[in-house]
Amino acid sequence: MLTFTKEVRGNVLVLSLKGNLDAITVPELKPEIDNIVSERKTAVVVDLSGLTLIDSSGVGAIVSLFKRVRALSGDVKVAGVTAQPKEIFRLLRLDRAFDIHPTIEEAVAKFPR
Amino acid sequence: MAILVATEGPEAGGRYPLETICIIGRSSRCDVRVSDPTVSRQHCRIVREGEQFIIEDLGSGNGTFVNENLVVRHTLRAQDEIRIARSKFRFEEKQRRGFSELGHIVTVVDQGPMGGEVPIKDRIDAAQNPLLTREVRATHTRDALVQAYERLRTVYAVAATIGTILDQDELLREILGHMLSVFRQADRGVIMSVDKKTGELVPRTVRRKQGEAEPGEILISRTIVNEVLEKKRAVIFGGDEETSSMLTQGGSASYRRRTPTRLRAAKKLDPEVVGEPSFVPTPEPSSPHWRSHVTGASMYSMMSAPLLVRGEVLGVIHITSADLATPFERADLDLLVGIATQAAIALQNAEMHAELLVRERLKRDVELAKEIQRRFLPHTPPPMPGWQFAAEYVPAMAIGGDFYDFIPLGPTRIGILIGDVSGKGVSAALLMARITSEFRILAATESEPRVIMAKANASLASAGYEGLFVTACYVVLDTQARTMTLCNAGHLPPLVRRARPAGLPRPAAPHIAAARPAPVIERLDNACLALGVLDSPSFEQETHTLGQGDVVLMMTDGVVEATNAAGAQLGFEPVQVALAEAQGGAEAALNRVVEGVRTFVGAAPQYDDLTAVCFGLDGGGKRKDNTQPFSVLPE
Repeated sequence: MLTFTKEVRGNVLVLSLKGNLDAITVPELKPEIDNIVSERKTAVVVDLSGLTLIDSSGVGAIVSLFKRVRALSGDVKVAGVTAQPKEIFRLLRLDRAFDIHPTIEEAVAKFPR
Repeated sequence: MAILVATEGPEAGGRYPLETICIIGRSSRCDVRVSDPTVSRQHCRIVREGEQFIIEDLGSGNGTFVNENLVVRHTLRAQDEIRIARSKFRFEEKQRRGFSELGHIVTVVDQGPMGGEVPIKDRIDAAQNPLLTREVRATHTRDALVQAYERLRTVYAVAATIGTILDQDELLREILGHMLSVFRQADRGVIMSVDKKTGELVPRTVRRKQGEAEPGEILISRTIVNEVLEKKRAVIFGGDEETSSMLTQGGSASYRRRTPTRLRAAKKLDPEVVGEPSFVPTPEPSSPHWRSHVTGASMYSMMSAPLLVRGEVLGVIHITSADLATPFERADLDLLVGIATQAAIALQNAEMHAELLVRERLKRDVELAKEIQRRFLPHTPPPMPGWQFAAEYVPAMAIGGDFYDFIPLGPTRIGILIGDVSGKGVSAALLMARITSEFRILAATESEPRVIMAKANASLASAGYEGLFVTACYVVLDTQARTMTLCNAGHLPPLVRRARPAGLPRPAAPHIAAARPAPVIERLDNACLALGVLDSPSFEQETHTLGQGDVVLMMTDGVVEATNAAGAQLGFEPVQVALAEAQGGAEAALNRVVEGVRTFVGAAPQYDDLTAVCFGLDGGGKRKDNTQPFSVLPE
């Protein structure tokens, strides 16, 4: 089960994911990722504070968003990753690729105004 | 109808119609053969899945590009440009709306030519097969009884000939052919099917008694749609002067005023427009024969019936006659319904058969992908005196992306690789095949694990595999120096079972068991970013010395995330315990770990590939024979 919400804070788009992001729920998120890219959003915060479970397909979806926004000269920052997703991020050493912050506010503040 | 047109390269100018599967490559056995040494023997293939054509790279050396993007699997769109090496192809597809092969399009019109009375002459409930349910009374004339018998015989004969046809298009052509010969006055017919996804009426076959029907637009009024699709009735309409003159007076001019709207779903018809009369077969100006019915003076009679199976309308059969001396009557309608009932059953059978074929093909695809994967995994261990190597690979039911390899680098050096491609399915299998080949090539040209990782990453990151990434751990083992140098890219940490804790001096008398301390497990936690996420992250490597009896275990998450029936995951701890407790060398340690996983999982289904690789120096005691091939692959 995955729910996601979008919120605009200044020039930053915040995408909040709640529940499980896995092979079953990734197809629900994919159109949203396509939207973000086609709308050429270049400042994106992915809020994972409500994410309880992620698998490799889920990580793949976030990596895909990250790479595509980067290709638009933008950036994706990650906020509030905890629990099992945090373990996976650590294992994959994604902290070396993603700018990870404890809260949405801190992540948003890292984007130039 | 889709075709591949060669635009550049040695085959330029060639045109290749695409059917269910088309393999492109250098081999003479390919459907599209490209005489170019830089093209792989089987380079890529195009597979039809329903209405779509999908191109899949077959692990080619130089990749498959669509519109200059490297693809592993890609759904082709009309005018896509495919490039393999120096050859280019254009994918061409005629629009598949309506029925492109026939060139006919069905349009539902809101209004009749004059907005007049419904010209329906007769209607019967198609769910009641009148040939079987209508009473035969003693008062019927002998002729009437003979006719009734003849009709039943006709239905039986048609059912017998169409019952064995499994190709849907052939079946529909055959049914319509029978209709046109059974009804002597009929000169033209069309069978349309209801698209299950869109609810659209799609013309499937159009026939004239003599010659081919010209492509054109088939207009059908909402009245008929409503009668046949919604109310499941068979109807006769037209066939007298009044109706015909009403239809002809409107002419093509009145037709143009109408707004054709495509039928989306019969259920969503606007009730306000239902009840408007008229069926206009085709007023398409490019179709003079059919157009004459609208603009000319000829009169006609028509019948429509649903193809009905257990209350579900699969389609509509419609026939028309220009011979008004013998317009269609109730008896004809009865017969039409009788044949349509048999035809609907045959059509449903053919549809189910087609679905089964698709499922069979998908199953074969999965088998093929698994076969490809197996071939990319090593079958025999490297013979290295004094060392043991063992591996276990248990694929899950679904196609996973685990891989491992032993790469010989010289008499005293060997590369050991383990990894996991994210995701599942054919694309993961193909990427796995590609990455293992890449590592073999890189290992032959580079010696430093971190350089090999960096190059593998660069190739992966630039390849544009959407959302796919790879975790991998690569070790170069020097059997002479007894060192291993490893670089871990986001993979599970390798475990090292130390026969002696590091730093302790070699025991003076190793044959005295009591002097041996319990083994210690080291977890090599240093790792770098997984492959394929960033273009050029930094990769580091570290070197460890291995002593006598030390064993290194590398595994994929199928081990630590093995799940039992209660939904619990195994975790790291039990693996470490099993490794520590195992007696003997690498083989024994691996067996112990795998046994532990099996016991934990029990009868629960295996969701993920399980891969583990173990190696180490012999314990120094009894030397094990390591020359026999080990069996790691399930037969």
